[in-house]
Amino acid sequence: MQKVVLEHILIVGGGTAGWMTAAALAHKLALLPISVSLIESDAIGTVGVGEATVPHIRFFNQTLGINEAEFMRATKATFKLGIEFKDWARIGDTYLHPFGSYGEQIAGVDFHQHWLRLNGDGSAAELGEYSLPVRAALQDRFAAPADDSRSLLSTYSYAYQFDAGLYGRYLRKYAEARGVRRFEGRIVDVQQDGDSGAILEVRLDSGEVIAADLFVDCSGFRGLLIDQRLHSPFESWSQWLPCDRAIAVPCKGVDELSPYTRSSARGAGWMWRIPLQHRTGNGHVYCSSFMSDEQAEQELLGQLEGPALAQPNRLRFEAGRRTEQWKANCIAIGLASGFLEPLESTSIHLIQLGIGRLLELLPLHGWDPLDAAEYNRAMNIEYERIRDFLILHYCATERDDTAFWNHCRTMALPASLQEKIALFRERGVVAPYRDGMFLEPSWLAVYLGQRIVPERYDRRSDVIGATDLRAHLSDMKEACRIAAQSLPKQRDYLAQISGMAEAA
Amino acid sequence: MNAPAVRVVIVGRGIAAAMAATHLVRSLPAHAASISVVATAGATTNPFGDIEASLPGFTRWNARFGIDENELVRQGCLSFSLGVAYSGWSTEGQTSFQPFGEIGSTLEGVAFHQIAERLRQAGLPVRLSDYSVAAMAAQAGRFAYPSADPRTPLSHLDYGFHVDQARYARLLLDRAASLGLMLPAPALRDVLLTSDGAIAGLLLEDGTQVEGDLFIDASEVTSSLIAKACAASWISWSKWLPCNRTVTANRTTDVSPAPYAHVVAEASGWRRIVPAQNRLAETIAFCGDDRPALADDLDAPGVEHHFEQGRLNAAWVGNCIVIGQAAMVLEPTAPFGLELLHRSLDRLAALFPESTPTHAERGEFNRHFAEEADRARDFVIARYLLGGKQGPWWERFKQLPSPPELAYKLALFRSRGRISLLDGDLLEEADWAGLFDAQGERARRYDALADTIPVARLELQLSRMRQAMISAIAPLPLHGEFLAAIVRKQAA
Repeated sequence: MQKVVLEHILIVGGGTAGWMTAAALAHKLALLPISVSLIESDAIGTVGVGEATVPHIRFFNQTLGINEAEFMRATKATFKLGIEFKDWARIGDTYLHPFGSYGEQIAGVDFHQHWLRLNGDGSAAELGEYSLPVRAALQDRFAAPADDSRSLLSTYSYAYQFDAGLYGRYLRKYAEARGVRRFEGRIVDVQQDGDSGAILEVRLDSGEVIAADLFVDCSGFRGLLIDQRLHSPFESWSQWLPCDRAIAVPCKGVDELSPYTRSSARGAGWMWRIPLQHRTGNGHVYCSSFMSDEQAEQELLGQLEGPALAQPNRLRFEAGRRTEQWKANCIAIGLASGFLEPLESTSIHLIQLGIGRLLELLPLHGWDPLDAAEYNRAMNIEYERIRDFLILHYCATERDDTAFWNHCRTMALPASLQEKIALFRERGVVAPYRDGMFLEPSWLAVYLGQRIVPERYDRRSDVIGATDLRAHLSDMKEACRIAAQSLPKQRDYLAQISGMAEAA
Repeated sequence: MNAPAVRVVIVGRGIAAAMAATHLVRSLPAHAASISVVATAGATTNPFGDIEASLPGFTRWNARFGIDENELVRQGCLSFSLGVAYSGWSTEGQTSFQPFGEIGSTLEGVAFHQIAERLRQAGLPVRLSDYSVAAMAAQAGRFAYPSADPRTPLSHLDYGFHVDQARYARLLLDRAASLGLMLPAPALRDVLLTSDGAIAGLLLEDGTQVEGDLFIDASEVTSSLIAKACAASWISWSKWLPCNRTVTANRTTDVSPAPYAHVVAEASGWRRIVPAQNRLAETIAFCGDDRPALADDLDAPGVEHHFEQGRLNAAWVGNCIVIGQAAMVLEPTAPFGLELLHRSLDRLAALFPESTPTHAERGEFNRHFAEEADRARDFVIARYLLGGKQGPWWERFKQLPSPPELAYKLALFRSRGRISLLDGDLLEEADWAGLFDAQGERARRYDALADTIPVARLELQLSRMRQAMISAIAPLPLHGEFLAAIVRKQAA
């Protein structure tokens, strides 16, 4: 075994990022001579509101050995099959971005190419009709996918919608039970190495001094170490993602539990609706140059489906990322690393990616600047590809009803996105890449959902006769309809698996 | 969608032309594309020998288009390949093996090559290819298809082909002829251009003109008339890959063919032997006038070829698409040629234009072409730049800077055994780790998580893994017997 140079890892900040990091490190490094601690202050609030996630979170929980039913109870979670987008391309439009692909390949050619062909002569149904998770979600139905890979019921994935505060608390218990030491207090001073800038130790308001070899900055927007001490530059993306404010408020939910998050475009941004077991999370993300805080709050409160359960919480942010998320001996995870609005529920996924990369590149046997270089390279690709995907929601619009949408519709795009859109518009091809979380079905959902209709389809589709193809698609659609119908309502499914009290 | 069929003219008579005709005619409906082959200009002999080695992807390409591999064996077109053996590429006298399929297996979430490095640093020697079932079967001269049963190590096998290019091309072109795709083909005299620089047609020696909308240059020669009309420029790789001459020859044999190609580093170049049924194709590569005595020592008189390694800056320009060796010349010290070819064809079929090709279609095609060609090049270069080969000819590579993408891969591997794959990489992490390992590269550090598994448990797991492989290989037939059984089956 090589000599170990890493003995103590200190996480600065609780919240979702801090406790996810603590839990994962405690679990993965249990057999190594490394101790993990976390500093947080009860006096500092966390940003985590109702959180919607992507399916990768299940892998995170499974790796940690977390029991799903117990997790669902502890975090008041609901299941999620996708995100519904309302009023994005035009007022009145809706589409659902599902966790699963549309249809299946026919004769080695992607389903959507055949769909484009039939759509061209008006004989295709809406794309969502060929997606089981879309059909199920819109009827508030859910069950875990089947194990049998031949079954249509195995062809989708799912994520959760949960109370991030409760998730943090749940992981705190998990991490502390596995030896993570928690320090309560505020950091009042930081000691750095004069030459390298490496963080040596931090002092708390209690006077206690804590030294560590590696620091994980989970202090949120403030970036206590990565920004205030290490001055890692922040690259703003506000020219493409101009929203810079959010207001969040929970309200009493309605009877039906939707297994999807809703994102409704508004005059200067958009609103989220995330149904949890015990309440519904709501929020309004907007651009302060186009709307006042008062108006944004009024609009949010005006459309709640039930009485508000707390005071509205106002947040400020700027879209962008730190170009060096790992600098010296400090890695920023969560909001300290950058910010992308939660339009596609990517915040927790970015935390998870950061944790995964850190574990892969952990400098247990010595320091090498390449570790940071590789971490930053990999995270920068992820950030940029998510950024492009988010911008697509704004630029692929026909809306001209407000100055905000006029700006989004006409803004200059990053070259990387412009090429992707051109390829899809001309040929219906989703540009493939090796790294990046959003795969072909996600791009398809948004391109087509936001009215970018390709000029041509794959000519190989024509090998199949039109009558045969119509019959095939019609069978597929019917199979999705029947399969969706066979699933239980999410509320019943939850009651069944978690013993949730039905008659509340 | 009532546009008339796009008239596709494929020029060439080698394997690239034959595969292009097959791929397009089987993928596209007749009303979208009318395909013809002008089997005129171009080479039928490959500067790298008559038998080409493939990666496993080529076997799947054949299966996809209903080309029965048993039939190919019976026609004498192919034998099977489990990888490539390399002699003298790292240290004098040493042979290493680059296998297909998996090498070892991930243990408790940690990559096998990271486990290996942990064991080495604990003082236990581990050679990666000793844990490849393909490498072990190859060493024993045995062959079998991969098993569908995940419990046997044979499920980790994968295989490619050694293809007799001329016979294979003829077989495919005969099929094209039976579909009426073949045009009579006197030599090519000129390429006719439109006023905007696109290709309007071909003028043949007998005065006939062949008109078309889309021209595919599969002529296998870099200086073809069509490639010139395309106005694409050649990016030379000779700085890293200086071999620009080969002598090729064939030899008959009745020994059971080895299920692998063998590439030997020589004093000033390399020598490759690719076995097929009843014969061996031999290639000797060198640089300029530096023709080694070896080249005159072949059993059969050899043919000398001249070339420059590199690629076109763009393979699709205007209405002309260049494929195969006219688009890229990369020595087959790692067998990438056919892989790049069928990937290009797949992309062309998916992006097949309706009439005039668009900017987006060409852009997407060329982006992948460039990425894949350059990553394949990196893999081939690495064997030159790394390893302790001695002698004046090899000295030059010691100080030669790598292309940046390779330099980064290598630095990260040396630092911590990690491989970062990029867009365009055709092989997997384990293949790169196997390459670096074979060239004597060691990682300074290994994955921290490897320390969570006790050495004794790792040792036990590795010895079980190897034992299971040995037991699985023992009853397999020799490669020659396997081929003979396929031939007999038809006779019966």
